[in-house]
Amino acid sequence: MTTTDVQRGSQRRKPGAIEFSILYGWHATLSGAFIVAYLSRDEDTYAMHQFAGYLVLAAIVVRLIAAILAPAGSPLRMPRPDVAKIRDWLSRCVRVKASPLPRRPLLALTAMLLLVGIGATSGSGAVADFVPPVETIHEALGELALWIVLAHVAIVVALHGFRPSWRRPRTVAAPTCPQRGRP
Amino acid sequence: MFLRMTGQTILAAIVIALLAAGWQMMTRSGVAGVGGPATVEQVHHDDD
Repeated sequence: MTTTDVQRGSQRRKPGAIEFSILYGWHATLSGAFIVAYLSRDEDTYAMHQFAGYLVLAAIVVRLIAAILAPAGSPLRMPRPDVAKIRDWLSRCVRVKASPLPRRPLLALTAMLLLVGIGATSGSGAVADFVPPVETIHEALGELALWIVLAHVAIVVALHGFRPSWRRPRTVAAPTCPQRGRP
Repeated sequence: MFLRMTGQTILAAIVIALLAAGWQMMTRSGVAGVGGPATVEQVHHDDD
């Protein structure tokens, strides 16, 4: 298959519902385990922290394996952020005016940051079980991962969470009363 | 979809927390690793 293959774009594989179900289930497992691991990082609940932490690590490994084995066009493939589009959007906002957020590139970028951040945190935690000096690095990475998670939630809320409340259905009288409160 | 995924996350966190708590009780590392003897003494004092 070469770049001159004109049929490549028209034969795009449609992802199946089972793939999205697997992705959502994996997301629930990873995020739930991360929450438990973060909240149980105290010495008194260290076994809980270890359990949840290794579950996070296993989820990351499973995700990487699925990304390698998944066919092209599958949502289980690794997200590939288009940094150029985000850079263009930023320069457009600075030079001209605010423009709609580039949804797919932003979500892909945060997904990659999450995988790297949470993967590094859980991996360093596993190493710290055998090499105690690594524990300090693990704690720092855990705090950083939390901020990446919060940024991810904020971006998802900005892109998806508030949209239904902003798009109110237009009534019959709406076109004649464009400004609120005026007859 | 946002609410559904948030709900799934919360549900998963509850289930994982319960499993992790069960693991903690089984291994008792939180008791034996740090405050093992003192905790045992506290149990005896509570029984008195």
